[in-house]
Amino acid sequence: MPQFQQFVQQLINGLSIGAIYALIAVGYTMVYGVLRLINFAHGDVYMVGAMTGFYASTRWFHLQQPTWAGFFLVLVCSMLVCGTLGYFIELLAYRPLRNQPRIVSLITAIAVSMLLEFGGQAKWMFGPDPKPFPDLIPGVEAHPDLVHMGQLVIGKVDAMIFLIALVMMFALRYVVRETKMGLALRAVSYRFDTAALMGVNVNRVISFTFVLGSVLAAVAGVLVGLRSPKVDPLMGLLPGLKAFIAAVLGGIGDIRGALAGGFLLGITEAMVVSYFPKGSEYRDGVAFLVLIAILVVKPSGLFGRAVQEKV
Amino acid sequence: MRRDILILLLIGVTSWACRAARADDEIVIGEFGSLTGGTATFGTSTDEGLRLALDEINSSGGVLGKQIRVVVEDDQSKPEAAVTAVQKLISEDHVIAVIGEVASSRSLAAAPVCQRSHIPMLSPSSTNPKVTAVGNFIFRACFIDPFQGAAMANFAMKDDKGPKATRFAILYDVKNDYSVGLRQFFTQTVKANGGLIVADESYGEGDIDFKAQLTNIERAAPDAIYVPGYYTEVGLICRQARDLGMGIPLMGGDGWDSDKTFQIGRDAVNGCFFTNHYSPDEDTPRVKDFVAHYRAKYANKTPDAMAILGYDAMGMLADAIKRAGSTDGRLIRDALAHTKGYPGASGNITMDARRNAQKPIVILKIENDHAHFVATVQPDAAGSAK
Amino acid sequence: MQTDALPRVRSWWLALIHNLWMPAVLAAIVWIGRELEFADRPGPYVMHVAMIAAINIILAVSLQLTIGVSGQFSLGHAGFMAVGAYLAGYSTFVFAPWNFDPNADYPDPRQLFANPGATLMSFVALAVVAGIGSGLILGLFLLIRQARRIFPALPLILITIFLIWIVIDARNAFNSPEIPVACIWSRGAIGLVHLYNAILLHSQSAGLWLSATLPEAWRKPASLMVAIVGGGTAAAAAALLVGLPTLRLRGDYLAIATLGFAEIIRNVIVTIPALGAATGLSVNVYWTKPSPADRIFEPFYMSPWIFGTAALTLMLIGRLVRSPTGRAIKTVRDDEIAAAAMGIDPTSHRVVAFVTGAFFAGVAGALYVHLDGYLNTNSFSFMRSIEIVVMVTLGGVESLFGAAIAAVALTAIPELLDNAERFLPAALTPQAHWMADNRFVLYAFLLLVIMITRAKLKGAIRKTR
Repeated sequence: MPQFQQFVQQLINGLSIGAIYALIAVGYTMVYGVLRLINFAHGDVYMVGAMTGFYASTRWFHLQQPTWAGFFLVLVCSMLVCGTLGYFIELLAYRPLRNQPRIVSLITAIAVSMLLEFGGQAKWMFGPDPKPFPDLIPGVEAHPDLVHMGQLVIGKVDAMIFLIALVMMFALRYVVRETKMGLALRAVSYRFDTAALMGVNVNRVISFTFVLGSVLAAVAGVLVGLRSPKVDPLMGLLPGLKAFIAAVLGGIGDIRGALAGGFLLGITEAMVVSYFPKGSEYRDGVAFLVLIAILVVKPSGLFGRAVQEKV
Repeated sequence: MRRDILILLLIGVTSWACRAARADDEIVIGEFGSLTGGTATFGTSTDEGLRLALDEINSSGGVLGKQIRVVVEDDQSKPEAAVTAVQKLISEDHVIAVIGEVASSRSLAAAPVCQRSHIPMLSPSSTNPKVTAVGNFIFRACFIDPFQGAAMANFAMKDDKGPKATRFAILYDVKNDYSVGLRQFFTQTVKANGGLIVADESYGEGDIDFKAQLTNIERAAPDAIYVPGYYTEVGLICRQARDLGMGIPLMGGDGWDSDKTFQIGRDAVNGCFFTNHYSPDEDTPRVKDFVAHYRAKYANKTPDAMAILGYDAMGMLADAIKRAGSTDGRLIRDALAHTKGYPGASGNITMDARRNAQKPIVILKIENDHAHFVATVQPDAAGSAK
Repeated sequence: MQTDALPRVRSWWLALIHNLWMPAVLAAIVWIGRELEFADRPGPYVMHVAMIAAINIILAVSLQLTIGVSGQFSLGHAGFMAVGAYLAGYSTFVFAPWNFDPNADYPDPRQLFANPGATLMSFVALAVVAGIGSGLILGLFLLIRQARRIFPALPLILITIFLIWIVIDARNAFNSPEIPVACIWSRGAIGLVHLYNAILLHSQSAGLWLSATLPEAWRKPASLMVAIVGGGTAAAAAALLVGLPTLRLRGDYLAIATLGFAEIIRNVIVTIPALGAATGLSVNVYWTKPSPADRIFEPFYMSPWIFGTAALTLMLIGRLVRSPTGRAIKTVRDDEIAAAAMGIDPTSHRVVAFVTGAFFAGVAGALYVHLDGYLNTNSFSFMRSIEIVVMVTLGGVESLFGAAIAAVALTAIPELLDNAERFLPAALTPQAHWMADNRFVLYAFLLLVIMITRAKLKGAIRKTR
C-alpha cells in the first residue's frame, strides 16, 4: 500500500527532525525550569557546537577517514567547547542580572544571541559562508541506509540521532531523579530562595544546568552536521525557536516534555507538508500555530502541571 | 535626561559634519552588496570580481585619465538597508554610478533611489524582470529569469544531452524572489511544450530538512526535479533526494554556482544540470585569463558566477564612462544603453531596449564533482524578448 | 488649614500655552521637516536616516505603551507593522489612481494618490469581508465552547473533527479543477474573495464621487491620510484577533505567542501573490525629486508627514498615559488582582493598550512603505521586533521620551559607525573601516555591556540608599 508506506515514511521523517528539536529543547527546558529565563542564546550554542565539530574534524585533527575514534574525539571536543561557552555566558551575562526584572534578562539573552550570530559571521571568526560538514561515522558513505524496503527508507544517521536522543533523555532523567545534583536542581527550580536557605549552592547548580544544556546542544549540533552536512553561523536561529516551541508543547520545565514535544512537533510538520495542499509553504507557520494552540488550550503543555496563582 | 540630550546634540552635530571630501582627480563609483547576513557570499564574490576588474583598469591608466575609486556599502542582506546604503553613496560619497545588487529584492528596493537621483545603476546579477522596469537609469549585466527558466525547460525536454523528461517536479524556495520567478517561467515553458508538472513543493531559505517535501515528490513519480534555489540548500536537497532513493536528475539555475554545491552535495550532485552565466572550463582565452588572475589574487579560489559578473559589470561601466567621455549621469546612461558586443569574460554583452543584457546561457552538467559544459542557448532561441 | 476646594487660578497666557503648545510644536516640526528636505545640509542621506529614526520613534513609543506601561511583553510588533505597511501600500498603489485600471503594471506615479475615496472603499471592503470571516469563525468557536455543557471533552473532539474536515476539504478542492459543491470551507473562502472583489468594483463610483467632493489640492494628502489611518486600523484589528487568545498569557509565554503570530502573519503574506509574494511589493511613489514648489503635504516627500506623525504619536500616547485610562492600565500592570478588586477590568484595559500599540505600529508601517517604496517580508522579521524591544528597554521603564531617544540613538549608531572614518583622524582609517565592517558585532557587544552595567549601577544605587 503506497499510501500507507508514504504515511510511515513521513512519520519517520518527522521523528528524525523531531529528535533534533528534542535535543535542543532539553537545554531550553532545563534553564527555564531553574531560572524562568528563555535562553535565546541556546540556539546559537548549538550552532557553535556544529561549527566546533567542523573545525575539529577538518582543521584541528585533519581526520581523513571516518572512524569511531575520530567521531568521539570530535564530539568530546564540541561538548567541551560548548560547555565552557555555556558556563561563561551564564557567569558573565546572566548572573549579574539575576535580581533584575525578567525583561532585562531576556534582552541580555537576545544580546548574547546577536553577539554569537554576528560574531560568527565576521570574517575573522567563522565567516558567513556555509561549511561542508565531513562524514565522521564509518560505513555511512557507502551504505547510508539502515532499512530500505521498497520506497521506505530509514537512514543510519537518522536512526543514530533518534537513539542518542532517547539515551540522553533517560540519562538526564536518571541524573535529575537519582543523583544529589539532580535533587538540588529540582529544589532550585521549585523555590530559588528556599533552596538557598537549605544550604544548596545555587550558583553551582545553575552553572551545572547551563553546562549540561550546552553540552546537549553541542551533541545536537554535531549530529545535525552529520545528518545535513551544511553548517553556517545563522543555523541556530530557526531550530532554536522551534525547539523552544517543542519545549513549551511538552511542558516547559519537564524533560520528558522536551522529548515528547520535539517528536510531536517534527511529526506535525511532516504531516502538514505531506497532507495539506501547498503545505510546504506554511511549514514554519504551522510550528507557531501549534505553539499558539497549545498556549491557548493547555498552557502548561502536555506534561506540565497547571500552577495555581495564589493571591 | 541630560545624557539623552547630549546624545541628541552629538547626532545633530555629526550630521552637519557629514560631508564627503570630493577629490577631483578620481572617479568615484559606488558598490552596494550583501557583505554580511544570510546571502553574504554573493556580495563578497561580486566584490572580489569587481576589485579584480578595478585593479586591471586602474593599473592600465584608469578612465578619462583618472583613477577609479570604488566605495563599498554593506546592506547586510536587508532591503531597507540597501535603500539607506544607496542613498549614502549618492548623496554623501557623490558617486557617478552604482553597481549592485545580486538579489533582485534588494535591487528593487534601491532602484527607485538611483532613478530619481539620475544616477545609473548596473546590477551584475539580478535576474527578476521587474528590476529594470523601475526606470531608464537601471541596467543589468546578466540575463533575466524568463530566459533562464525557459532555457532549462527547453533543454530538459528537447535536447538529446538532457534528461528528455516530460514529467517534472519543482522544489522552490518560497521566500526567495529569484526562485519564485524561475519556477514561474519554467512552468510556463514546460506547459507550452506539452509537459506536466506533477509536483510543486516549496521550502524556506535556511531549511535543512527537505525529506517531507521529497517524499511527496517521490510519490508523484517525476522524471526530473527542478530546484531553482541557492547553493546553500541545493547540496542538501540533492543528498536527501539520493538518501530517499531517488536517482532522477535534479536541475537548477545560476544560484547553484558555487564550490559549496560540490562540497556539501558530494556525489549526490552528479548527473545534475544547471544553467549558468559561464563555464569555468570554457576554452576561451578571456575565461582562462579571468580564472587565472582571480586565482592569483584570491589564494587559489575558483571564481563563481557572481565574481565573473561583478568583473564584467565593472568593466562594462568603465567602458561606458569612456564612451560617454564625461561623468554626467545622463551621458553614462546613454552610453550604457548603447553597449554593443562588449567583450566581457562571461560572453559578449549587448544591452537591449529594456536595459537587459543579451547574453547566451550555458547549461552545465555535473559529473565527477565537476561541472562540465553541455550546451549553449542563444538569446533569440529561447525567446528572451519579454 | 489649607483647603484645595478652589482650583488654582492661572494667568491667561499660561493657560493658553498649556493648551496650545502641542499644535504649535507640531506645526513647527512639520515646517522644519519640509525646509530640511531641500536644504543642502544635512542632505538626503541624513534626512533618510532621520526619517527612519522618526519611524522607529513611533514604533518604540507604541511598544513602550504595550511593554512598559501595560506590562505585556510583546515580541510581535514588526508583524503589526507589516500588516499596516502592506495594506497601506497595496491600497495606495492599486486604488489610488484616478482611473482604476486592474491591469496596469506600473501606474503613472503623478496619478497616484488622486483618489482617496477609492482607497477608503478598499479598506471598507476589506473590513466587511474580514468582519464576516472572523465573525463566522468566532461564532463557530463560541458554539463549540458551549458544547462543554454536554460533555467536558467534547470541544476538543469537535475541534479535531473540524480540523480534519478542513484539511480534507482543502485537498479535494485543490486537486480538482473545479471546486466540488461539497467542499463548503473552500467554497466559503473563495466566496469571501469574490465578495471583496465585488464590493470593490461596485464601490468605485461611490469612491469617485467622494473624491470629487474634495477640492483638488486636498485629494493627494487625503489619500495618504486614508492609507495611513487605514493601515493603522487594519493593524489594530489584527491585534484584536491576536489578542483574543493570547491576552490571558503572562510574561514569557505572551512574548513567544506574539512572536509566533508575527511569524504566521509574515508566512501568510509571503504566499499572497497580490501582495508581491517573494518579490516584494513595489510602490513607486518617489520618481521625481521634490521641489520647493510642491505644496507642503504632497505625498511626494514624506518628511513633514513622518516627523509630524512621530511628534503626534508622542503627544497622543503621552496624553493617554497621563489620562485615567492610562492610570488604570498602569494599575493593572502593577497588581492585577488589586485592580480587579477596585473595579477596574484588567482584560479590557490590557486589550486597549495592546490594540493602541498595534495601531501606531500599523501607522509606522504605512509611513515606511511610502518612504522606501518597496516592501519585503524579510524587513519584518522577529529580528526587527527585537530591535524595537531593545529600544524600549534602553529607554527605561515606562518612559516614553526615553524610548524615543533610544530609538534615535540606536538608529544613528550603526550609521555613525559606518561613517566612522569621517570622525577619526586619517591615521585611524583602517580601524575605522574595521569598525564599519563589524558594526553589528560592536552593536551587540555594546548592548550587552549596557544592560549589565546598568543593572550593576542600579544595584549599587540601591545599596547606597
